[in-house]
Amino acid sequence: MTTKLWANSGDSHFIEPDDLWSKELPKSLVDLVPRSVKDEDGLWETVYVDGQSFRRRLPKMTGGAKEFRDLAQRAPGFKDFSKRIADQDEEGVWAELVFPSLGMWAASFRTRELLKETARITNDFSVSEIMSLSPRLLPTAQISTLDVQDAIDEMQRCAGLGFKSVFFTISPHPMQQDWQHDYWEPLWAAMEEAKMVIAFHIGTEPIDMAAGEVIGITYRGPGGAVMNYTETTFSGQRAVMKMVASGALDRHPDLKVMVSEGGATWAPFLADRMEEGYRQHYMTVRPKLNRSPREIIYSQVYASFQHDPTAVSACRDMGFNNVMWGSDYPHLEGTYGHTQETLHGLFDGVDAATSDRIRFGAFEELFPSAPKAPADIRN
Amino acid sequence: MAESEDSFMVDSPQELLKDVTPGYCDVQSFVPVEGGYSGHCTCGAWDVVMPTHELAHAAAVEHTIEITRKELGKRLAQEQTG
Repeated sequence: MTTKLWANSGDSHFIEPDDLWSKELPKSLVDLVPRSVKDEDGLWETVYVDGQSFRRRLPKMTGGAKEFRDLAQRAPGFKDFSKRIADQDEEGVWAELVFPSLGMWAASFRTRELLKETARITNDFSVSEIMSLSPRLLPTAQISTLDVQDAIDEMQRCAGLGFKSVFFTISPHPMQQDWQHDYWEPLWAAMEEAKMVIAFHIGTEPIDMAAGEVIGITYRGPGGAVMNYTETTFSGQRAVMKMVASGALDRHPDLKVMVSEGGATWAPFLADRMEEGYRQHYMTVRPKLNRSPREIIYSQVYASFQHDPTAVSACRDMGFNNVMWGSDYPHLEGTYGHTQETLHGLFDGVDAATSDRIRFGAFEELFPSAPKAPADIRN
Repeated sequence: MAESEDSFMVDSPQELLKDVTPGYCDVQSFVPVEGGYSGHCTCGAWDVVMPTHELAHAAAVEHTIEITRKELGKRLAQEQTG
């Protein structure tokens, strides 16, 4: 019989109840949260998000489309949180970093009060409905990135509530400055002091419908779908590049950053490229760093992957130890239903130290308060 | 976002956009601008500015009327053939 492999997940999600925000927000804000209204013909729907809206053609719920929806909702704990731990025990997942799902819309909000309030409501929900289930579940806090003081206030409140990390969109709010700017310095300092991890998740670029003729689309024509998906992985790398080159991570050596669902081999590559740039252009580089880009990335940046076969090599062969596996539960792209096949495919034949580091060690280092997997399942 | 039997759950902007085929009339966006609402379509060939969201939406319905007619016709034919 094949041994069951267990792992911590550096990339999981929860699905928010449909009325999470609308039942608690003041009436003046309720109409601004994401909602969907169908056209009379039933073929189109218009999605409203904080004053912006878009009308899309609905996929027909037959054949492949129906199968897709059923697959996306196949995990018993998909929305019934009480079944979540049973799902994880069945799959072989021990501790999880739990990102939002609907919360990924938040960066498309434009109203400061709405962003603040939805973050607060979701964080309180995470405490009462997720943290309370098991210490194995570590939900990420959500903060507003429309205003740095709002971000600091909610981050500090969440640190007090027991959160260990904050979910960050890969790019900041379109109406705000990018991560490399000094505007965010007070937040980095406050997060370092609170020992909160910056948890970037790929595919969370805010949709700024005002910015382009075609929303969220980089490429058209042949190969567009794969290219547009692949583009989302580069954004995680760019976020790290900004945090390193701007000196943010150098100034805050105890501040840790992770990029979820973006693979892992990019980290040694990015370290190479930034090292080369820093060395070749040293005379013009501002700010000067006290440590090399490679040293900063290898000591403060973590990366999670789910299927990428080369990710193990990043740890074993390239010396980048901060590689974590992630299930992406319960999302369709995740490993639910084939977690054991995935873990065996990745780790069978891999030396024990590397396997343990990726499946458990890096996660435990980043989140030392998370319960350790019992010895009998840590094979 | 509320889900129903005949529409996908949409959990994030990226998830919503993954089924969009650039160059085709899959999505029209409406953004408040000075003087009304600016509308764009993923076909890349439709841009309008209308004084209200309702008018911009109506213009989008008109822009996609042929697609809607074809799809409704196709579904009717499927229903008739069982």
